[in-house]
Amino acid sequence: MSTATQSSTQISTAPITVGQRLAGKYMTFKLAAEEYGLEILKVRDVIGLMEITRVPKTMEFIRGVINLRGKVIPVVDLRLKFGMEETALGEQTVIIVVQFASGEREMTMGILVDEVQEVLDIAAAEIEPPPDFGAGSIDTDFILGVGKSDRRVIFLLDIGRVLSAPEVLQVSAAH
Amino acid sequence: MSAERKLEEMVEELAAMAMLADADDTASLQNLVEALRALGEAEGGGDAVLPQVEHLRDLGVGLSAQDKVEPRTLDEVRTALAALQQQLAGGGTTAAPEGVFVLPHWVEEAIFEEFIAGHELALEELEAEILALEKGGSEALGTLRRRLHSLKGEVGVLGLGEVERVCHAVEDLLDDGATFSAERADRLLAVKDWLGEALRAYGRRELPGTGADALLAALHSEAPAAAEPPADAAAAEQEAPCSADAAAGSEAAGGRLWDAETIELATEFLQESEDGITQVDEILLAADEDGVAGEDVNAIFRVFHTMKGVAGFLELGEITKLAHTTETLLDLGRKGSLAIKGSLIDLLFDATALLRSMLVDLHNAISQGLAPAPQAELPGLIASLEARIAGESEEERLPAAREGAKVGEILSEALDVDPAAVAAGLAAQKESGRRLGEELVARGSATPKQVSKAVRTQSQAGAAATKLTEFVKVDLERVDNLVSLIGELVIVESMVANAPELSRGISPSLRSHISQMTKITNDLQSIGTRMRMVPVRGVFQKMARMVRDLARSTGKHIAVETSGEGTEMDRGMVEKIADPLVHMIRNAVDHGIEDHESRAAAGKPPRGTIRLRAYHEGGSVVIQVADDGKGLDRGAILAKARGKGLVKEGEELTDHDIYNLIFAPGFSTATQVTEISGRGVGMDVVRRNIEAVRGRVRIDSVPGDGSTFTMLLPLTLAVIDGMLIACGAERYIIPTLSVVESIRPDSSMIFTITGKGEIVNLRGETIPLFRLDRLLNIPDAEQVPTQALVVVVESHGRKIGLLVDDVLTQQQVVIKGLGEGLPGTRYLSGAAILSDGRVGLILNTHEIANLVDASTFRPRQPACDAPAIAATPIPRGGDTHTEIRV
Repeated sequence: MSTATQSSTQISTAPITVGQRLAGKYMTFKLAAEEYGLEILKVRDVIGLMEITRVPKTMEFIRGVINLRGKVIPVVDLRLKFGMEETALGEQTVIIVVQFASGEREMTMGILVDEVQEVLDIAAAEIEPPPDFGAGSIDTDFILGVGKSDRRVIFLLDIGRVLSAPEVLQVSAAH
Repeated sequence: MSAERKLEEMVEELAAMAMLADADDTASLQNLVEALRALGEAEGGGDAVLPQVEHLRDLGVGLSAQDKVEPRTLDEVRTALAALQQQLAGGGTTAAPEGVFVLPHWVEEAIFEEFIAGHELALEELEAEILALEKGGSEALGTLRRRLHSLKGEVGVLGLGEVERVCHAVEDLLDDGATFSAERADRLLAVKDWLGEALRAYGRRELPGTGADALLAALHSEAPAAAEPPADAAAAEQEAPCSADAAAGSEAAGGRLWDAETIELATEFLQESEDGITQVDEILLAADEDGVAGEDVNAIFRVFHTMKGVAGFLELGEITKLAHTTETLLDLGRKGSLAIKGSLIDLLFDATALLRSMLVDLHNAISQGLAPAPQAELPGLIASLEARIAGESEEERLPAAREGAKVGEILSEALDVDPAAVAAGLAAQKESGRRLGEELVARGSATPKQVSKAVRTQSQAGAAATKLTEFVKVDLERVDNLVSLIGELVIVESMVANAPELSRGISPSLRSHISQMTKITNDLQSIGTRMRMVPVRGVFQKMARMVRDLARSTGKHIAVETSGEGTEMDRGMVEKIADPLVHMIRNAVDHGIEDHESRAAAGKPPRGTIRLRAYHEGGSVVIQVADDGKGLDRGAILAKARGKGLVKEGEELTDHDIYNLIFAPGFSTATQVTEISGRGVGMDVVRRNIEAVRGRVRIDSVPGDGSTFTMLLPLTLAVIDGMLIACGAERYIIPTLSVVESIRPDSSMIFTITGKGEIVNLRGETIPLFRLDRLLNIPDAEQVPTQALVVVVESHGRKIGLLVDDVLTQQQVVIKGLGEGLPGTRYLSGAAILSDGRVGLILNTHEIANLVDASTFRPRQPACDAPAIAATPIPRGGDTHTEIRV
C-alpha cells in the first residue's frame, strides 16, 4: 500500500522505505572497529563482565552460561559468530542481554561485545537498505539496514536472526 | 415510561420472585401466581413476545391449580422468564448467533467464571460416587443425588439450560429405585463426560453440542436390572437377593399380604432408608461439642420426614412411630427451640441404631412372608425422645479427659473400646487415610455413638482437637510466582551467607543475624515446596475410572485398590507421571491380567486386582502399580531381545535385567496389537518420561503371580541433591541419586584393555572408566588416576566410573533450565546455581553411560543425529579405532 506524504509537496507513490520502517532508537556497540546497532526494545540489560561458565561440547561461539539474577542464560561471542577473532576479555567488555521472539518462544540471551557506545536515535532519512555484495559472497541476511550518524556507519542488526538456531547449526558443521 | 420498559421491569421482578419462590412456601407461590397473572394482562410486549407471555400466564394458572407444587413447574417458570428477558433485552426475535452462549444479564461474570473453574473438581467427585455406587455402596446413591441436585441448582441460576435439563433427567432416573447395574454406571459416566464437555463449552461461551437428547434417550432406554458380573456378589449392600426372594409373595401368619407391588415399594424404602440413616450417622459423627446446626439439622429432619411418610404408606406401624417422634424432635431443632447436642446426639444414635435393626427385621420379614416383629426397646426409646421434646434435658456427662487427649486414647480408656482394636485401627488408618473414628467404625471395633462421644469429650477437654483443614482458593500463577521468588531468595541468601568477606572476623551480632536469615529462608523454601504439593488422590481416581472402562471393553473383571492416596507430590510431577501411569495400567489390564477362563484354570479368583500404592520413603515418593496377573514371560522377552539384537548370544542376564529389557524402544512381546497396547511404544516412553523428572522405574515379576512396577520419584522437580565435583578449573554436579560411591584408586585397580579403554577393578567388579576431562574437553585436569578420584555412577543397572579431580561437597541445588537455544548439550541435563552464585552444570549420567557397550566395554558409536563434532582421538598405543564420536 502506498503511503501518503511527508511534509513536502511531493506525493510519494513508493512503498514504505526501509528508512521509515527502521527509524527509531538503537543501542550501538563496537566489535573491533565496526559499529553495530540493536533495536532498543530488544535490549533487556547491559551488565559488566561476570564469570562465564563454559558449556562443553557446544558451538565455539557460545562462550558459556551466566547467572542473571537466578536465571541461567547462554552468552554468545558475537565476534566468533561473525567469523572474527575471539573477544579478548577486557575492562570495557560487556554483556548485552537481549530478548527476542524465536518462533513462538521468548528467548533471552547475552552477547559479548567489546564496548558499548550509546543509545542513538536514527531518523528514517539516515537509514539505507543493507548493501548487496552479490549472491553468495557474504551472508548479510542478519543486517536490517545501514544507519549513518556523524559520518559513522552503523550496521543495524536483526538480533533474532543472528542468534537463532538453524543457521547456528550450519555454521558449526564446518569446523 | 414506555409500555415496553414497563414490561421489562415486570419481567425482572418476576424473575427475582421466581428465584426466591419455594415449592413449600405457599406465600411466595401466591405472590408469584399473582404476578404471573398480572403479566398476562400487561401490554407492550408486541407480537414477538406474545406467545411467551401467554405461556407464562398459563404456567401461573397451572401453579395455582396444583395442590402440591412440583419443583419442576417452578423450574419451567424460571426458564421461561429467562428466555423472555433475553428476548426483551435483545429487542428482536433473533437470539445470539448460532452456537454462542450469552451469559444472562443477572449473572455476574466473576461468579460464572468461578463456577466454571471449579467444575472439574465437582465432576470428579461425581465420578467417584458413580464408581462407588457400582461397587455396591448404596449410601453413595443419596450422595450422588444430592450432588446432582445442587449442581442442577447452580447451573440453573447461571442460566446453563442444557446442563440443567440433563441433571434433572438424571435425578429422576436415580429416583426410580432400579438396581444399580454396570450398564447404568456406564450411562451415568457417559453423562458425566458430557457434562464436562458441556461446561467447558460454556466456559468458552459456546453452547454445548446436541448430544444431550441422545444421552437422555439412552438413559431412559436402559434395560431394567441387567445381568450382574458374577464376582460382585461379595458386595454386602446389594438388595437384589431381597427382591429375588420376595418375588414369591405369600400370605403370612400375621395376616399380612406382601404382594408384588408392596414388595417393590418396600424394597425401595429399605434402600432409601438405609441411605438416609447412614447420612444421619455421618452428620452426627462429625458433630463436635457445639452439636448439629443449620443445614445439617434440616438434612437429618428430611431423612426422618421421608421415612415417616413412606413407612406410613406401607403401614409399618413401629417404624412410622419412631420416625415420627424423631422427626418431631428434629423439628424443634429446626425451629431453634432445641439444641441438638450433647446427650441428645447419643439419643439420636440410639434411634438410628434401632431403626437399622428394624430395617433388617423388615427385610427378613419380607423374604419370609411374615409381618415384622415388634421391637422390645421401642417403647423406652420413644419415651426418652418424648421427654426431650417436652423440654426435659439431661446434663451431658462426658468422661474426664486431659487436654490434648487423642480420640484413640479416650475410646480405649474411658469408653470401653478394646485397646488392641484401637491399635489395629491406628495401623490401618495410615494405609486408608481415614480418620481414626471412621476407621474404627468401618472395622466394627466401635459404634458411631462411642466415637461421637469421644470426639465431644476431646472437644470439651480443649486444645489439640483435630482441626478441619480450611482451604483458600488462590490464583495458581501467584503461587508459582511466589515459589519462584522464594527460589531466587534462597540463592541470593546463600551467596550472602557464604560470601568470603564474612569469614574474616565479623561481629557476633551480624553472624547471628545472618544465621537467622538462613533459617528463615530455609523455612520459606520448605513452605514454598509444600505449597505446590498435591495428593496423588486425583490421579489415582482417574486411573480407577480408566481401569473400569478398559476392563469392560476387554471383558475382564478387574478391581482397583488404592492406598496412600493422601501422599503428596509436587503438582508438576503429578502431571508428568500421569502418562506413564496410564501406560503401565493399560499394560497390566491388557497383558497382565488374564481373562476369566485362564484365571479359573490357574486357580485364581475370577476378578483380577490392580493395586496402586503411594508412600514417602527417604526423600522420595514411591508409586507402585501391581497386578495379580500372569507376570512377565522371561523366556519370551529374552527371545525377543535376542531377535532384535539387544542381547548377544551367550550373554548372561539376571532376571532383573531381562525384565528391564521391556523398556527398550520398540519392544513388545505382544503377539496381538490391541487398540490399547502392543505397539511396543509404551514402555520406552514410560521410562523416558520418568527419567525426565529424574525418577527411576523398576519392574519386578513372578511368573503366574503378577508384576509390579515401582517408580521412585524426587519430591520436587526444582531441587536436586547433587555432588559437586571439580575437574580442572571447572565444576560439575552429579545427581546424588546416581552416585554409588567415590574412591581414590590405587594402581592395582586401574587397567587398560588395549584398544578397549580403561577399566577399574572394584572389589572384583570390573567397571568401565571414563575420564571426564576427555569427555568434556576440560583443560588442566589431573591425569594420574591414583591422584584423582573415581566416582562410580549407576544408570539402568549399569555402573561406570568417572575420573575427576576432587569431590568438593554435596548439596541441594535449584535446577534451572540450560537456557533456551543451546543446542548439542547431550551430556548435560541442566544447570544449577551454586552457593557462590556461579553456574554449575549437571551431568546426565544416563547419556554418559550409553557410551558403553555392555559386553565389551567398547565405547560405542552412538546412532544419534546431534551435530557431530569429532573429539580428538584418545591416544592409545598404535590403535586407531578408539575414537569417541559424540
